[in-house]
Amino acid sequence: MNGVFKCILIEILVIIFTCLTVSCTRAKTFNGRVIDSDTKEPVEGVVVVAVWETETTTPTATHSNLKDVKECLTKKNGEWSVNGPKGRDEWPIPYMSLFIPYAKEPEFIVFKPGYCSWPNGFSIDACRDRMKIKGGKDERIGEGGTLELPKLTTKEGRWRAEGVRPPFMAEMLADKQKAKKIRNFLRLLNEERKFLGLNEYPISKELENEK
Amino acid sequence: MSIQYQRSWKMKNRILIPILAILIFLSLNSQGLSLVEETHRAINEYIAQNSVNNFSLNNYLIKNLGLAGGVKEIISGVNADGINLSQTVFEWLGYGGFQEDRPGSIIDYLPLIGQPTRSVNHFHNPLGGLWKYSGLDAWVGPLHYTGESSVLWAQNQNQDPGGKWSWQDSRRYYYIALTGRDTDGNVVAPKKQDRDLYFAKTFRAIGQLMHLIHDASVPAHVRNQIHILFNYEKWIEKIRTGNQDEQALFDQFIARAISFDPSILNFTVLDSSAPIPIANIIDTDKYNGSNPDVTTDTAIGIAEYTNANFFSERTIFKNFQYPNKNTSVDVEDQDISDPRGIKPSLKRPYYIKKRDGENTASNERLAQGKQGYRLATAGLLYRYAPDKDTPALDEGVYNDYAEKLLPRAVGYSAGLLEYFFRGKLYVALLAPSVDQAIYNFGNENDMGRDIGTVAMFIQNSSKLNNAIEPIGQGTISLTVSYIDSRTGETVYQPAGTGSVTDIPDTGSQNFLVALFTLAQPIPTQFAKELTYYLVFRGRLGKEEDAVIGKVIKAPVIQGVSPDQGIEGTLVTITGDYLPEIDGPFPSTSRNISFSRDPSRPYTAEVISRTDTVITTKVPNTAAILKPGYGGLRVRSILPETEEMIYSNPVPFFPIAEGEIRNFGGGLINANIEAVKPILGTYSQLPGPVTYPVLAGNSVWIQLMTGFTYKATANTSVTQDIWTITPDAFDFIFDLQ
Repeated sequence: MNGVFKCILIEILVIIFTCLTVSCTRAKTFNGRVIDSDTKEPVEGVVVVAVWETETTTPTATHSNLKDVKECLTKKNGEWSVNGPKGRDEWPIPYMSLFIPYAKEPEFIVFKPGYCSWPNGFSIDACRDRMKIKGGKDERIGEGGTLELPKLTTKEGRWRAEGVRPPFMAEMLADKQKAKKIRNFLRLLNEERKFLGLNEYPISKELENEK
Repeated sequence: MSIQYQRSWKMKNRILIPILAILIFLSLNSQGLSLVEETHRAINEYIAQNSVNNFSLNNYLIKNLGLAGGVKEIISGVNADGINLSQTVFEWLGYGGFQEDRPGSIIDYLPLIGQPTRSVNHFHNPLGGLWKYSGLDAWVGPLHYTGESSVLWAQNQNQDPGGKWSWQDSRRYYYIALTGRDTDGNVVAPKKQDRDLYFAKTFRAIGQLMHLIHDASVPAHVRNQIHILFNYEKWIEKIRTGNQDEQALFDQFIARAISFDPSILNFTVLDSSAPIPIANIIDTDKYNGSNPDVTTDTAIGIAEYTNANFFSERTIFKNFQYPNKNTSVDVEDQDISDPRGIKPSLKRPYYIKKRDGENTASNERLAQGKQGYRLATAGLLYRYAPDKDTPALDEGVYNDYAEKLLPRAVGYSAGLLEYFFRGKLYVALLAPSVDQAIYNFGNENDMGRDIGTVAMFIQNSSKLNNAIEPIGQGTISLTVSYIDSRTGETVYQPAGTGSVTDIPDTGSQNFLVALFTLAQPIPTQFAKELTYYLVFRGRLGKEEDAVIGKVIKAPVIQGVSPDQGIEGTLVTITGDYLPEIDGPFPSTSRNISFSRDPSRPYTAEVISRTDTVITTKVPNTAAILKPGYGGLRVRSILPETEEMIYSNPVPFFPIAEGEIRNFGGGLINANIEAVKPILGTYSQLPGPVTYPVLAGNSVWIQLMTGFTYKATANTSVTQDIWTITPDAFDFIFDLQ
């Protein structure tokens, strides 16, 4: 193997990684609005958590790794926005995927005590057909659309809605620095857990005490 | 120096170049085929939080393991890196689903350099012959990947790397969590945090096993293939995280769980290398490669169903007899959306699966009045040169696959979860400080101040396939825990282990009557959160080393004031976890008993009730028999099952009322003296009292029930006094 071939190999890899890295890490503002599906009034204080992960394909499994997480609360007018890498919804070069990690589009959860949560609402009867994104691009969270969240009137419904968790929650719960990034989500989650008579996440108490 | 440097570069080249070449080769040729880790997590968390096939883990945990928060109870354990992690039960199950593919770095997949990974053991070809030959055995270019069959891996107690998460390990962790001891009887989890750690490991282990079931719903995993391009598994994850319609579709798929016929768990596993019946969830050995119709029966393993009826990307009409190009399919055009967006729709020819096993219509085709489901796309040549056709799988095919496979991934893995927790012990009656018979809390010497013994009447209510599953040879043990209010520490007291050969069914009139003796009595005055951990370990149906746990939180009485009184006297009972009593108050309840005889129905008037204080009245009914020492108890009746859980007894002495009558001709001084307790050896006898009684007159007096009294003047009379009767004298001493 001569030096030329080695250089070509390295260059190919560098070009691939550079192209993909640039395209995947290009910044974008994800935004939207949350309103009450019954009153059509904006809902303030809803937490939106965005999780970015990288995905790596191997011959027998597909592994994901937490890249970053951000959260925000909706304002009085129900609007929210989060900045972060655009990511990709699938591997850009189908024939070259193995072992090369790529940044996926962020995955979102939306939560406020007493309301249907996204995406858990799809498995809750009281939410399923009333939780909708209107407007925006592709009916996806973060693409400028308005998410209509139904209120939950039963404890059973709230118990189910409480079950929403972002990807890599375990990783965040085990690392205080990461948990701080979802401080508001944990606070609201514990608030709901108290209402439901459930025990609270200890790390959230720690974060509250640090304030 | 420079020569050495050059040599070093050459050495590096010899290593670096082949590695780069392999990486590039693999990058160009292959793509992973397991469900994405987050898909596994999502499925497990869904199953844990929902009732699937009428099994609710949440209900089981609340009713049988005393976890008040059910699947949302937070349990502290450690994560894969050994770092403390406190999360809910359903998250532990999800975490197990996520972790089963790990470790698995890029380097791990490089031959000679890499370490073995867990995920190579997630394959099972049901037509591979003996199960030891049914694991992954596939080539990616020059690289050969092999692994153990997932059926064997699930029961491999020496799993490596990534920790030990087999079925047997999960049973072991569960046993330690419940007893604090390993299977040899050594204390390995003396404290609550240690036991919690094992509870967390139990749920994680089950989550890891559920992952193996999910994987057997992926065609590539059961057709021995590592394949290329965008695939079924990626498509599943794409819709799980897609727009609202796609996410709703994913939810529809997992909400339609299809499980197996539970009778497969009664089949004897023919391959002794995986003797536990969970093997049948993946492979019953009924499908032999030429009888695909058997796979439509629900008494079939999920790998058999998947193998016989679906393709992986590289096994389309190849490597396996079924699905068969000549007999299983018809080619039909189907409308698809135009990817260019020019036309409303395009027509694409598909191989439609209509025969040889699964042939039910997909939803989309059913709506069009058509039969079958899309098995593969037909290539351009199929009309002209069918033999040279190059069928493939597209997103329409994945959709039809997912409609059938994802509900099974959910239903079958939920079935494994249910099988783990199918064991149930029914405790008809639990009473501390009792020595033997059910209708006589007869240990008169045990005042209940400290709990030294516990009696239980136990039946087996474990069900499989709607029938009681028999319990066989094994052991039954009890541990009692409480929080000592003086120290705040949770204390565990072993109460013994015994052998059993059978536990009668709930349908029978028989019970296993077990009396446990605690190593150290429990000081009830300082005990909070009194909890009984009843554990059976042994044969349950076809499973040799099953573990059944029954965790019961019990009421405890810490004090009663006053400890004696006449009818209507207000009595305050203080304690912990006191029984529920329906309001509004004042109310009545049959869960407070002043009687030693639980067979006598009796209703107490209750003035107020909290978890820690009940105010009641000494009853005015003749139903109070045998009151006295150790006579006051409260009991909780568990909802639905109506299991009766009694508190410790405490001494309470209702006061009987009667008179001394003087039939003589002159004044007498009647001496009333308790000479002995009616039962047992209670030593604190009421002191003697003297009453002057005029001739022909009588004197009204009160006496503590529960004793034999001797009344003496010129004559004497002896009488047992232990009943009080409303509106009448409870005793009369005639003297002279």
